[in-house]
Amino acid sequence: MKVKVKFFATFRELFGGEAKEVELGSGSNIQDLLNLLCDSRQRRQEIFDRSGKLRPYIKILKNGRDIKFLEGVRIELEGEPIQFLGGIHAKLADGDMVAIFPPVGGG
Amino acid sequence: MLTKDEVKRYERQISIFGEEGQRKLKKAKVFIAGAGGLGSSISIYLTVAGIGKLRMVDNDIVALENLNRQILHRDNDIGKKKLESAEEKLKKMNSNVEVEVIFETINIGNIDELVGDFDMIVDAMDNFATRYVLNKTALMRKIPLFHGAVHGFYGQATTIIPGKTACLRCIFPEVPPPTVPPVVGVTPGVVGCIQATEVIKYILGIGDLLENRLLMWDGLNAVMDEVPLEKNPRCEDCGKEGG
Repeated sequence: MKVKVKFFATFRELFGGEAKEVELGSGSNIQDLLNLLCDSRQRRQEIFDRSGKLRPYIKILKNGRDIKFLEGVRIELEGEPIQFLGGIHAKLADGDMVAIFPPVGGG
Repeated sequence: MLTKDEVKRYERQISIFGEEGQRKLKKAKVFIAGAGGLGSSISIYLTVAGIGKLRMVDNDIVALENLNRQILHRDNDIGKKKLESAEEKLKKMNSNVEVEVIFETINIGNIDELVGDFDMIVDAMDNFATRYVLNKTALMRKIPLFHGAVHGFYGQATTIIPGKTACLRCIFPEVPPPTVPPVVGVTPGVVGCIQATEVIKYILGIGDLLENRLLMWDGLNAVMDEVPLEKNPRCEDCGKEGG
């Protein structure tokens, strides 16, 4: 499947352009997409902290919705949570649009 | 009422929104947090537009390295309080505007008194910690907050209307680490003008505000994007479970 990724502000320099089309295996999620995009040490450092977690101040939208707002949505099987659908685990589908923002904080 | 001089001074904008609109601007009281890059362009354009009262708060001294972007200040202002320099320039630009300056570091303990009975807050800060203080105050008082921020050739702006739009904490829940970002003077020029435009439209009640929309300016590629925003129901500042 193909996903379109849009970069904003300084991420345009980090990722070499305003947008990219990325080919992913079916069933991939945001984490898989970021892993694929972060193919250099500099890119990884900007996106993930040392423990490999997404830096909390990086804003990511999936089809115009903040992935943080999708957090906590679970599929439950016999009362047991089996899957998070939101956050970095949000599943991607063919044609999805993902937007990634660095913090912009100067005045 | 507008004086004869004011009607003449503002004739090119009165032709857009009438003397009634101009009177609305004259009655407005706008609080500007910061007298740096954004604060310069915001305060200059609000002054020449004829806002009745401007209150600026800042805690900094003019330094040589400010002068590439902080267009209120001149070479001979180095070493002066930014506010002293700002007050002097703004009063010369339009003596009809009441400019009030307060040399203070904004924090959660003093913000209430600083904002006083002002109608709206313009964010011209350089850090998110203080922006969250402005956000909380705007929410508590139910007054708008006009957000702007810059980095290099990039900038962003949005208009926060408490109770109606996402708040700053919904949009950016986490404080990024403090940095000294690179800035080309034109960027706070562009973004500050967008914020000042929003303030004027809000006071006049015309046009479409940047409500639930983040405007992203990319000066390097000359592209402006618009990003949809939404309230976070679990926002710690404005959500049902939050403040």
